[in-house]
Parts: sequence; C-alpha cells; structure tokens
Amino acid sequence: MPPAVRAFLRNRGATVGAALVTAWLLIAAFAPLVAPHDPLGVIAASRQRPGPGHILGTDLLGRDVLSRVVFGSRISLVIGTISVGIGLGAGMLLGLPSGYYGGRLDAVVMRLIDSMLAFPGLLLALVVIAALGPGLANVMLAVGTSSVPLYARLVRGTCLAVRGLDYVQAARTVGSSDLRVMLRHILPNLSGPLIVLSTLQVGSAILVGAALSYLGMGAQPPTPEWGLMTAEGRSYLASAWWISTFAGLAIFSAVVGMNLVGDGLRAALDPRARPSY
Amino acid sequence: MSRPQRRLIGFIVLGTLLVYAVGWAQLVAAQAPRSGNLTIATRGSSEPASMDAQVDPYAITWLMNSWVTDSLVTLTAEGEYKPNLATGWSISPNGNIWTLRLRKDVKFQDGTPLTAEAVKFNIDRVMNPETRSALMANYLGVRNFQKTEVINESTVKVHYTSPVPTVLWGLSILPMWSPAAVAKFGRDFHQNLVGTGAFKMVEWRKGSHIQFQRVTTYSGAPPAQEHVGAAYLNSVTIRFVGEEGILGEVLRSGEVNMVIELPAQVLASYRTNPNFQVVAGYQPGAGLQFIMNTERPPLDDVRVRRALRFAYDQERMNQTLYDNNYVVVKGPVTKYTRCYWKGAEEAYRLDPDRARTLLEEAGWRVNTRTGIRERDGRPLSLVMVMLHHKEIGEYLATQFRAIGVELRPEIVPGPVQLQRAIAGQFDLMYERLRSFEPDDLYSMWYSGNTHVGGWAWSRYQNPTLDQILLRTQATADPRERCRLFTDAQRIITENATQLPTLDSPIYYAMHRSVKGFKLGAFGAFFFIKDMHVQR
Amino acid sequence: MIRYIGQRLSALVPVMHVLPGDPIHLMLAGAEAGSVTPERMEQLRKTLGLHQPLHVQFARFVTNALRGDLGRSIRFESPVSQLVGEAAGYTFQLSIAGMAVALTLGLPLGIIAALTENSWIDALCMFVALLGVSMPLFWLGQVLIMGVAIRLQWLPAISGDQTIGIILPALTLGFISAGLISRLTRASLTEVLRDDFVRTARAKGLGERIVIVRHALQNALIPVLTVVGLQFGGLLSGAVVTETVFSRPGLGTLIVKGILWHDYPLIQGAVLLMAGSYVLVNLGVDVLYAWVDPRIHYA
Repeated sequence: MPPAVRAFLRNRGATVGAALVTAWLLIAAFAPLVAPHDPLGVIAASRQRPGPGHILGTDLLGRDVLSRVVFGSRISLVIGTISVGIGLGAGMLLGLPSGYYGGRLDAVVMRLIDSMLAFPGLLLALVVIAALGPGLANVMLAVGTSSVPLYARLVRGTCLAVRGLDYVQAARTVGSSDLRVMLRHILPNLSGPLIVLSTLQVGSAILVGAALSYLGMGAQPPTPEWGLMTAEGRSYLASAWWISTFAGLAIFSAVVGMNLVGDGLRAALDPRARPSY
Repeated sequence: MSRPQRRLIGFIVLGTLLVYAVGWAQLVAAQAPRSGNLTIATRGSSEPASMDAQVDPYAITWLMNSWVTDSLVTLTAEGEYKPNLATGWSISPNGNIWTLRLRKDVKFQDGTPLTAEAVKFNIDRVMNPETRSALMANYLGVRNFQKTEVINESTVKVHYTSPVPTVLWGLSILPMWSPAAVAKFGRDFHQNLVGTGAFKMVEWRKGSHIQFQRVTTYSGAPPAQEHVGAAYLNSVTIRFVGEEGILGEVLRSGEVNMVIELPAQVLASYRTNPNFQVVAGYQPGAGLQFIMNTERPPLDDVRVRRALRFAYDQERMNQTLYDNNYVVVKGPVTKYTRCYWKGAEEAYRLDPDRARTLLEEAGWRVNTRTGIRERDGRPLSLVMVMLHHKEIGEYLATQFRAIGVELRPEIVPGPVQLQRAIAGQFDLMYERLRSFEPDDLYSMWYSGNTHVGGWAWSRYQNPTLDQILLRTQATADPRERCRLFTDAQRIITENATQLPTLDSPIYYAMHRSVKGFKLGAFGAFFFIKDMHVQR
Repeated sequence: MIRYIGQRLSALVPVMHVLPGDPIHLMLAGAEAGSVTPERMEQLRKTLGLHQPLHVQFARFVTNALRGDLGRSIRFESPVSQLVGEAAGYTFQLSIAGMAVALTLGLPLGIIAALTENSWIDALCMFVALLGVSMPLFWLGQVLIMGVAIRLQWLPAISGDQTIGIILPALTLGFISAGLISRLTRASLTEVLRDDFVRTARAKGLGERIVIVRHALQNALIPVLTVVGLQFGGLLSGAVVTETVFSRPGLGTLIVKGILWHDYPLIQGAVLLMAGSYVLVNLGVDVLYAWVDPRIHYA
C-alpha cells in the first residue's frame, strides 16, 4: 500500500470523513431506492411533525422531507463536482501556458486573474448569476468561475517552480515538445496539490451553491435542493422547524466529510506542505 | 347623637368621599392626553417604489398617504362617501360634469392654501400621462376626461365626455398634494411629501422603515376622524420585514405594537393570547387571481383553460397552505365585492379526469418519459408571473403536474410585473385590483383597456362581454349595474379566462394597549387618526 | 503608490460591464406601463447616450462613477449612490463586528491548538474550527434566530438600525470566519515554532514565554494578517447572506434584490462598492504587511 494511503487511513478524522462522503455518494446513487416517497409528490398533510410515516416530517405542500433530502444529495454532489470540474479545467487552461511560457501571456493572464480576485468568492458568483440569470446550470457556471483564480494560481505557481528545474531545462534543450514536458514533468508535481484543492473545493462549491439557491438565484421550486429547502422553511421556523433544519444538516454533514477527507489528503500527501487556504 | 347614629353618619360621609374620589380619578384618567408611538411591522414586499399614490397602484400606499394628507371625499367604514376636503358635490343631468365645493380654511403642511387651483393641479396631474399614474387615473376616468375648470376660489368643475361611475371612489383615495412642493421637489417629491394631513413623513430608510411625525396644527374633524384637532399619536413608524417567520414574531417579542398582514401560520397563537387583538380585513376585488393570456398558445384554446380550472381545489389549497385562514375565491371577484355572482361557486370543482379528457381533446398527449403533455413536439409548459405568495404557485404546480401540465412560477417586482403584462410575456399573470366598486371588472375585462395604465391583460375578445361592460360605465342605476356585472362574471367564468385561487384577508394584530383602531370599508384600509397607545 | 492603487482598482473594470439587459426597456418598464413607443425609446436612448459604442458608454459610466453618479435604481426610483451610500454603513458595521468576533474566537483557538500541538486539546480546537468552516452560514443564522430570538427571546429578531440587532448576525458571520482564521493561525504558528531561529532563541536560554510571545507570534501573524485581509472578502460575501437571513439593510440585500428584480444600475453600484472596499482593505493589509515585515518593500 502506498505510504500516502496508509497515512490517510491512520488519520481518524480522514476515515470518518471518507465514511461520510461515501455514505452520501451511495445515497445519491441509490436515491430512488433510499427515499420512501416521491420528492415532488404531495403525499400527506402540510407541515407534519417528524414521526412514524415521515421520519423527518413534511413540508408546506405536504411533501416528505426525508425523500427530498435524499434526492437533494444528487443535486448538491453534481453542483460540487461540476463546479470543481469547471474551475479545474479553466484553471489549468489558464495556469499551464501562463506559467510555462511566461512573458506577455503570463502578464495578461495574471491581470485577468487579479481582476477576478478583486471580487470575493460569493460576489463573483453573484455577478455571474446577475449576468446569466438564476438557475442550477448557471449556479454551476458561477461557482466554477469563482474558483478559477485559485486553480490558475496554483497551477501557474507550480509551473513556474518546476520550469526552472535542471531536468526540465534539459528536456527542453533535448527537443521534447512543450506538451510532453508539461505532461511528463509538470503534471505529476501538480497532482497532489490539485487533488487536495479539488476535494476542499467540492465542499466549498456545495456551500456556495446552496447559498445561491437560498438567496433565490439557483435551483427553483419544486427542485429538492438543500439550500432552497432551507430557504423554504424560513417562514416556519417557529411552527415547523423541521423543514429547514434537516436540509441544512445535510449540507453540513456533506461538507464536513469533504473537508475531513481534504485535510487528510493534504496531511498524507505532504505533511510539511504549507496550507494553501 | 348616639353612637350608632354617629357611626352611620361616618359611613355615609366616608362613602360619599370614596365615590367622589373614584369619580375624580376616573375623570382625571379620561382627560389624560391620549398619545403614544405606534410601530407597525409589515411585509417587506409592501414597501412601495413610490410613496405617491397618484403614481403607485398599491393599496398600502393609499393607506400611508391618508396619514400625510387628506382626500376630497372619505369612504366611511359603513361604505358611504362623505365630504372631507370637499364640502359637497353635484353632477350635471347628463352625468358628464362634476361640481366640487371645497373647504375654505385648509392649508398644506408648507403653509400654502388648498384652493380650487390646487385641486385642479392635483386632478390634472393624475390625468397627465407623464405622471405615469397606473391606477388612480383609471378610477378618475382618464379616458373620458376633458378638463378641470376653476369656477372660483372654492369651486371646481371636472368635465368628462361621458359619465364615469367611479369618480367618488377615485376621489376618496386621491391624495391632495401642495402644488408648490411638487414644483419644488420634482422627481424626488415622493420622498418629500407635503399634504394637508395629520402626520408628516420625516424619514424613509429604504429597505428598513418609514417614520411619520404628528402635525400639531392639524385641524381634522369627522369623518376623517372622530375627534376634532390633531391626531393622538405622536409618531407612527412602519417597518418592512422581509422574513415572514420574523414578521410573525415581532409583535410577540414587543419590538412593534402592531402588525399589518400577520402571516397565516401564526394567527392561531395570537388569537388565543389575551394580550393581543386580531382584526380581519376582508377584501373586495379580484382576489389572488391569475389572468390567462388568451392570445398565446396553449391558453388560446378554451379547452386547455377549462382543464386548468378542473385541476385544483381552492378549499384544499386553503387548508394546506394557510390553515383555512384565507378566503376561497371561485370567480373573477371575491364574495366581499358589490354585485358578486354566487354562480361562480358551482362552475368548477376538482375533477382531474375531466381535465385530462379536455387536454386530450385539445391534442395534448402525455410524454411518458417526462410526464408532461406535448403537441407537435412542444411541451405544455406555462409561465406564471406573480408578486408574492409563491407557495400558491408551487401548490398549483404540483396539482397541474398530475394532469401533465408544467407550471413555472416566477416572482417579480411590481414594475417588472406591469411591463411583462403589457408586453404579453406570460401565460398566467397575477392581477389583484382591490377597489370598493365592482368597476375593476370593467378595468380588467373590457378588451379596449390596453392603453397606458390599462388593466385588460388577458387580451380576451368577446363582443358580448365588451357590450355589457361598456353599459356598466354608462348607467347610473345601481341595480342595473349589478345585473350587468353579474352577467359579466358569468361570461368570464364560463370562458375560463382567469384562474381564481384564494384571497388573503389583511390580518391586523396589535397589542391590547393600542386603542381606537377602526377598519375601513375595504380590508386594506383603517383609520389612524383616532388611535392611541395606552400606557 | 497612487499608481498601484489605481491599478488595483482598475482590475474591477472588466468584470463590471458583464451585466446585460436593455436599460431603456427596464427603465420604462414600471414607469410608463404601456406607453413605450419606438420614438420614446429612441429619444431616451439619445438622452442617455446609449446609441454610442460600448467603450464610450463604459467610459461614461466610469467617469460618472468617479464623480459619484451611479445612475438611478429602477425599483426604488432614487439615485443609486444614495441607496448604496446608506446601505454601505450597515454592511461595514456588520463586517467589522463579524471580524471582531472572528478574531476573538479564532486567534485564541488557533494559538491554543498550536501550543498544544497533537494533543486532544488541539484536536478539539480544530474540530470546532472544522465546524465553522463546514457550516452553511444561512443555516447557522436560522438556527440562532430560532433558538435565541424566537424560543429564548434573548435578542430582538428585527435588527434594522439598532445596535443590539447586530449581535446575532455578527456571531453567525464571526463563527464561520473564526473557523478559517483559527486553522490558519494554528498552521502558521506550528510552522514557526518548528523553525530554527526559535530553537536558537531557546538555546540562548531566554524564558519560554518570551520566546513564544515575541518571536513566534510576530512571525506567525504575518500570514495571518494576509488572511485577515482576504477574510474581509469572505466577510463581505458572508454579509450578503447574513443580511438576507436577518433581514438587515445593507449592500448584500441591495445586490440580492437587485439581481432578483433585474435592477442593473443598483447591482452595478452595490457590487462596485463592495469590491472596491475589498480591494482597498487588501491594499491596507499589504501596506501593513510591508511595515511589519521589513524584508518586503514595494518598487
């Protein structure tokens, strides 16, 4: 077993996190089997307390909260992974050439990144939503876009560091194509930090995506999205607290899991690495 | 004197003194100046875009305007029009010319006098298209308006080309503004209102609150208020609370002493609490209804429209969403409206099978993969534009899904609603006109009302209906008008050109120390000038 | 230095002009409800200079913005600069309060964790920090409202402009930020504690406490300072959500409402102010950074 995996498994927090994440992945994958009712169907009286028949109660329209939380996992996980995919992809596309070639290209890309960094996280996502309009797809785009600077900087930084190394210089002198150099020498150095960043970013993407839906910019009713469900229960905090609480708890547990895994990965892959918060 | 006799005299003297003492104390208490500060909380979405009711078409603005200025006519709680700033009025025999006689002693809050010129200024301002009066102009008959004529200092004549039945109603909500102030502030007048009223607007923190301060020189009298002189309350503050959950709690926590539009889900808890009083203001008018765009498929097909009406049940909606605290509406107007047609209650009922049959007949087949009906490859998908009560949209969406119709509710702000309505960018559009007279039916359903400030959004063309509605505007006889309005409701219902749901009574809740509250003739109005807060 | 500031602020420019929508249509939307004739639209377009090419328009926006004119809000029918100016105060109040809570919670937590590295105290502190970093802000806010304001009635639910109303929102914001700050403080401090120069100082025999306090903390606080600057951005983002949860007025509420109502002038103004202040705060941190660490200086 590679030392990194061993280190990871020894870390109690990381294993708990992995268990949480795996649980949610399974729930999401087998949602129709796990959920007792149709998440969109009105099956019972409005605002029933948690009890037999509805373990987590029903919402305003009489829909089963448990089923909605279960199906909501699919949406949150999709938001998380696709946003990270967008960020990763765009970040690499920007950061690799920029760090590798340097010069004017680097200067332009850095200006662009600085531009985006002038806007704190959620604000950038909000500007994207303002431009594109509300909706789940746009949320993924918005969240992905707001994480691009992080990836771009990481990739660019590593590129800059590696590019100066002797054996890389040697490879270039010998005539290896740029692409080959990037793939063979730079990418391996990137993989560790990128994995850690991506894992942590999935958690962050879930949070930001849920926040956007909470504000009304993301998933629209009747989608059982966790952030939207928390918002829907807002008017009933005093009378039907279960509508909001369980959805929020779901977000919380999923993100805790991802963060534990991310921290564990970071510790396992490079115990002395500077934390790149 | 014997001892028993002395004791008796002692008792009598003591008793008399006691009676005097109690009586004196009560007298003193009764004469203690009534005052207090009223803090009201209401929905955040009620905050107007413009505080000038000559421009803003929403009922809360009329209410707040009545605090800072007066109108020519007052609609009493009993539903009668009584003189206020106007001492009397008369109509010419042909019904086209209104003569208004005015009080001679009224001054605006900036000291300028209320003269016939000022009244002319205000009426002309509403009629002027540049003012963008969406609703008030309609009530004052802008389409038939000719001119306003000043006869002398205290007499004004308003000339129309044909009779306008809603003039008194319009005059009862028309605020009188100081022409000098309007000229001075221009575009920002609506933040610096100057009227004749008992209060002055002193602060408007957007998104937070509006504060009003008493005008001690106010010389009010019945029917604007029951006592003579300045209002009792020192100040009135209205806070806009975006969160329904919080709106339901702030009265209980003592942060305010009154709530306008208490949310339905907390009503039971306030009703059973002796510290609070809950008053229900039932509203006439259209209710929370949705106009169907009859010009645009799929709702251009009457079968589809009727199918929608068979797809849901108002009673069940009321039960699920509002614990039966709302009012069921089954026709184009609520049952609290003059000339209400009871037949609307029998016209449709929950019958999903019938709905499905109608849709099949109209050529819409269910796509088994999505569950939504399609025709020629296009899905049966409807956009519903609304201002609030999102849960009604969601409830309807679940009901419609069961018959294979996809409903997409969208919440928008007032200006966007108006824009999309005029442009026809909707399938279902929220429209709730709430006036005391049934003439909203004319405003909304006469097909010619697609002009500036027009409210006929459904684009429904029916010559018979148009005829009937035109006649309501030309007749003065109330019984004939009611007969015509009843007919109109029948035609509208049969052709399913609108989707009625419920109506929200305006629930007023206040702490028991708040006294003198009096509900107006239509639920969204109350009289504030006799109110006070007891210590 | 001025050039540098200007450069940093100009970074905002490209993103700002992303917002779409025919402003004329929207302005006339509520306004003239139906009387939008082609002639009227053309007339307005000429008056506002919207017939000019995009870069000219944008230059006008920027020059106007510098003069303080940010246009007029469609929904509120008042100048954006007025609305944004009023709202900014609330948001900054909240951000500063949140930062205060975050620092008072986060710094001690991180320091204790670092000093007791790899003990159960460390694990506990970091667990609390993890909670802060993983918890959805809106959920925490709602839980606090439900518990503290509604059930216990210790604090008022509508804050509006009262000072007491800032407690719950600041606690919510602060707790979440504290998570990140404590993690960072711990990481930074542990690294410094391992450093050679600390070992040297210890070897010299100085009292343990002096060693820690003077050397380690000073050096550890430099990256923390940077993060505080960056966290201000996180606080601003958090303020957007917090203001909505607690129904507080502020820039966040304006932005959210602006987006939902397609009130583009409002969105532009509010976002500009938020982002601008973020840039300025980070500039300030950079300056402080240079002052604290003599090894850095700006060309």
